[in-house]
Amino acid sequence: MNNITLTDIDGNKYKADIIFTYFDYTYGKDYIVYMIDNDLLASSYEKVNNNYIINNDLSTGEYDMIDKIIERKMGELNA
Amino acid sequence: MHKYLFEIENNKRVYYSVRGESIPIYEVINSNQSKQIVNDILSNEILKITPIKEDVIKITLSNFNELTVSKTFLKFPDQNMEIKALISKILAYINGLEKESLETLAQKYNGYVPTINRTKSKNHKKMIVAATLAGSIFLSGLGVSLAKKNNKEEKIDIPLSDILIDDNEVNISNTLASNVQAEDLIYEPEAPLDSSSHENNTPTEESNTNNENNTISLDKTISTPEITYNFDYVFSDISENGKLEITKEYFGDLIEYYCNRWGLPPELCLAQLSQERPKVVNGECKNPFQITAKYFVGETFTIPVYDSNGFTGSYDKFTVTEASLNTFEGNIMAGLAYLRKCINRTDSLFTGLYLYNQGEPSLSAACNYYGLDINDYKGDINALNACDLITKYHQELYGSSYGDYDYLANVFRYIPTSDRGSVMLSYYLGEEKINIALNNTREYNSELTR
Repeated sequence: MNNITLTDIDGNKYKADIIFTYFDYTYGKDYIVYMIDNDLLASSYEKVNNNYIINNDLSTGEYDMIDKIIERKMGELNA
Repeated sequence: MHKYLFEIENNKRVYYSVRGESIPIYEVINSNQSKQIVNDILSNEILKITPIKEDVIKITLSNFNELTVSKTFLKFPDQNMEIKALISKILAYINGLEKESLETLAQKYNGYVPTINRTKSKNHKKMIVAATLAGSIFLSGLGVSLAKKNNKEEKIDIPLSDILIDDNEVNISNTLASNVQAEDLIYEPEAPLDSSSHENNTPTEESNTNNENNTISLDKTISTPEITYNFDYVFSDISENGKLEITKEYFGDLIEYYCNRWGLPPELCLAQLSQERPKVVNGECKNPFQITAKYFVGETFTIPVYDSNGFTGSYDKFTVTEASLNTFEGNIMAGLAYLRKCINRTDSLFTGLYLYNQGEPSLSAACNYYGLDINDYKGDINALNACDLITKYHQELYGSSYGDYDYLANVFRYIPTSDRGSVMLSYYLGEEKINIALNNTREYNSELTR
């Protein structure tokens, strides 16, 4: 899968496998779906001063929306 | 191996052949040759797509020819079938990468549809990515915008690929911890504001902890001396009588509040608003900061919050909506937040002010165009050179009518100083408080010319 290194604000680094990015018009935000240590995770991201900031604090509605997108995309795989 | 650069210049597609490594030489290719090259690209497989910078990608083909192409080029409307086919090919390649990722995911979960691990997602602290994601986001944005252009209901979601992320790029993020700026970190914002689009909350315990842990740029024990620059500037004397006073009457409180909160000089922002705003009629003033809705609606701003002691460690975060732009407060917030963004981009109050008029990417575009290092044009000490460079760049590309080349003078005319008077403007850049003495030399200069 697609590898990327993420750095948190304490300088800790995480290797992540990125599945896809997605822009949702309802929330008006960009999201990223990725895996760290076999856990499937999702965050929103935005550009701040030429850096991309990944924000992990999503609402339940946002997680529900992303789960549906994953379901749809996985369904399309078998179509 | 041949290298090509496809670009948009003066609203026209331009095709270059590129020679040389460290000092590239660009040779313009005529339309027949460019057709052949596009056909050559179409008849080869894409081996790899690498982001060069945020808006530019390099495509390596199976015959090892390389094509450097910008987002502008790929989004530029064209009826040319070859170009359409080229763009489709690039998008198909990107979509193929997403499929590959999803297939691997399906294998991991034995065909079951996984759901997001919400607890673990939330437990991760906020993270920063630089150039690694930039190129991918470029592609992502490209996919979405092309989907919009094609009026498709279904959006094209572009994947991030390992092909986009090579070892060099991973190393970029390794340097982030030491390069992190106060503005680069997001915390929950502070006090709630009036507009419904704001997302301001009291800082959480977690965000406060994060703040304390981050001693890189937020440590208050590292004090920075105040820096003062002197600017001699020829003020115009054509100010519209009373316009500043009306600006103060209708917008003074809002400007004062947000300038103090976001570390901007109220005198300058009042002057800027006086220059920008249309007339107030019956208490109404449409779009006082002249915000172009199509560029701003949906944009989220994250702005450091200051008080009399300097940076507070908190950030305001809000998303611009069409409705908010139609309110005085929402419009002022968007205008000042954009000014703050322009200032942070150039590390300069005056260059930032000029970018407000000339466009936020103007300085980097000008530096790219002339092959200059943008760092030589950042900061207040280089502000006048930076503004001159932007003017030269836009005049060269667009002629005499691009924005307002006299924007600074037009803003300064609303700053109340007498001839040969001076005003001290203070603002914050990160944790530094910077004072700028703006000297009106109009009278002095006219004395010299006598």
